[in-house]
Amino acid sequence: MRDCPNVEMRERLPELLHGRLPGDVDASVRQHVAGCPDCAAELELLRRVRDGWTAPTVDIERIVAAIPPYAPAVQGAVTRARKAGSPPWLKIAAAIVLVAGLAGLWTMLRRASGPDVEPNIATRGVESGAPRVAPPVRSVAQTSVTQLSVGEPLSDLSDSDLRALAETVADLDAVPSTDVESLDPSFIDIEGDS
Amino acid sequence: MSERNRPGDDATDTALIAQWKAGDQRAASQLVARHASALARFAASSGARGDIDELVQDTFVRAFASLDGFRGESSFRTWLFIIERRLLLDRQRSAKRKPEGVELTDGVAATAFDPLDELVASEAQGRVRAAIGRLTPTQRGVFLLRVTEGLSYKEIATALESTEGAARVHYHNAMRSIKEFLDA
Repeated sequence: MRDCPNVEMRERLPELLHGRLPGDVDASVRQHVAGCPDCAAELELLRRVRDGWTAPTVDIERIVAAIPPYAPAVQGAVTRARKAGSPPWLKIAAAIVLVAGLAGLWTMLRRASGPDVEPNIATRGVESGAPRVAPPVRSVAQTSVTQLSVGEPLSDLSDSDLRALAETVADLDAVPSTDVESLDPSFIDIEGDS
Repeated sequence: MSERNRPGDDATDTALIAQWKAGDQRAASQLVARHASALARFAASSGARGDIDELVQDTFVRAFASLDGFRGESSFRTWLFIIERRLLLDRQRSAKRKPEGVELTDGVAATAFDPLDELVASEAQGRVRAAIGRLTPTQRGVFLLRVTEGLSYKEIATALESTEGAARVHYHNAMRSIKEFLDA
C-alpha cells in the first residue's frame, strides 16, 4: 500500500470518514479519492479500523447512578469572589500606604545624598590627626566664616553683617595661619578654654 | 449508545449540560450515553486493562463534579478525554507500573493489546489488529483518536496535552507502520 503524494488530501481522509469536512471540501476530497487508488485504499483501511474497533462494554446505568445531582459549587462562589477582587477601601488604603512609603524613602535618600555640612572650615585643616587649635584672635572672623561655610548666601546678610564681614576680611592678616607646622606650640590650647 | 462526534455535537452537549444544571438528571444520562463508549475506547487504546468500566465511571463523576470549570474551550468529549487520561496516569503511577498511557515521548512497541481482541475476527480485521498492536502506545493512542473518534490534530493535542505537530508525526508514523505490516 503506497502513500498518495497529495499530502493535503491524505490529511483529510479521517475527517472525510467522519463526515467532518465542509461541503465544498468534502466534495473535492471525494473527487480525489475516486481517482486515486492509494487514497481509496487508505480510506478503506481507516474504515475497517473504525468499524472494527468496538468499545469495551460499560454499564451506563451504574455510571449515571454514581453522578450526584448538580449543586452550585462553593468553589464557584469562591472563584467569583476572587474575580471580584478586593473591596475598594482596601485598594485605597493600600495606595495611601504605598505613596507614604515612597515619600519616606525619597526623603531618606535625599538626606543621605545631600552635601556634608562642615560646621567650621577653620578646623578642616587639622582633622588629620593634629591637635585642634583655637586661635585667640578670630572670634569675629570665625563667626562670619562659619555662617558662610554652612551655605548661607551673601544676599541674606544685612548691611551691618556685610560691613562686619568686610572688616573681618580686611583684618585677615591678623589671623594666625592654620598650618599647624608653623604654629608655636606655646599658643596651642588643647583644652580650648583659653 | 453513544456514537462518533458529528458537527453540531458541541451545541448538543452544551444544551444538555445546561439542562442538567437546571435539575434535569436525564440530561446526565444522555451525556453519559453519548460519550461513554468513546471514553472506553480511549481507555483501552491508552493501556487501561480490566478496570475500564470503573475508569469511565470515575471520569464522569469527576467531570460532573467540576462541570462549572468547563468553559467550552474544547469540546466536551475532548475535556472528558483529558480527565480520563489524567486519572489513568494517576492510577498507573500509584500502581507503580510502567505507564502505558499516551505520553508523547515513549518509543517502546506494545507487545499485547487486550481490547483489540474485540475486533471482528475476520482475517483482514485480524491483520489490522495485529498491525495496531505493534504500534507504540503513543502511536496507537493518537491513531485511534484520529481514526475511531475523528478528532483533529488540535483536539488530539488538547486531549493528550501535547502539540499538534507531535500528534501529526505520531499519526503518520503509525499509518506507515501499519501499511508496512500489512504489505509484508
